[in-house]
Amino acid sequence: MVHALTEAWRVLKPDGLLIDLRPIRSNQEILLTTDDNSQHIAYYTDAYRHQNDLSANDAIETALSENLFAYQSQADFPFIRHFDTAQEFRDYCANRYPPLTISDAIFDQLAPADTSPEIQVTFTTKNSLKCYQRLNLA
Amino acid sequence: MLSDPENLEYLKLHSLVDFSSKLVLEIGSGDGRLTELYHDVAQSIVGIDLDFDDLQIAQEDALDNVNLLMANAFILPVRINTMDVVLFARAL
Repeated sequence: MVHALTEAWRVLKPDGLLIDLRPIRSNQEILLTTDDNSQHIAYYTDAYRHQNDLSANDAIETALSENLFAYQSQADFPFIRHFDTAQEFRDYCANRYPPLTISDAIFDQLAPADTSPEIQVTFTTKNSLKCYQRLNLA
Repeated sequence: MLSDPENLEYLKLHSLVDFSSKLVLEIGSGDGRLTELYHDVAQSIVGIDLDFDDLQIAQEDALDNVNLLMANAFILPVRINTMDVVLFARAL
């Protein structure tokens, strides 16, 4: 990953901007929601992707320590996905690569979304948006 | 599935980054979902991804100022000191 950041530094103009936009794959929240209420069901940490996140953080830290970039600004925000049914959410999880491994016990708790049209499954992932300015000396 | 109903990604992206007239390299451009959030103000965008199927989906939209390439982040197909913005789109 550090090499990718070095490549980004190479192609950027002096004072160009590096943007790192990515989801934080720990403690993603699964809820049952209606127009008026939400019910927390579980938090889900994607171990494989979370490890990638940590490696990416390390790479950024290395690039900063090598004075390739300087931190400029950031914004965190929730990225929300609504699913009409638990089955739709199950299909979403299965079709991710690698799949999201959410337990059957959690899916059992989401079953009301399959029988009540007003109930949805909501999957919320915190997203991180960070900006770095390219430094001119490396 | 309904994603990001409040358009927070669009709002946050534009609150931090001025894409106006910028040359942008988007790494991990995928099916172009993120590209669509800022292509209308950027001067030109190069999107790279390793997923051929996603690149085909993005190509179907054929945005005038977007060029798509199959490439990885370790050997960027771009000349030195040419881009105003490099955007890692869930790719780092």
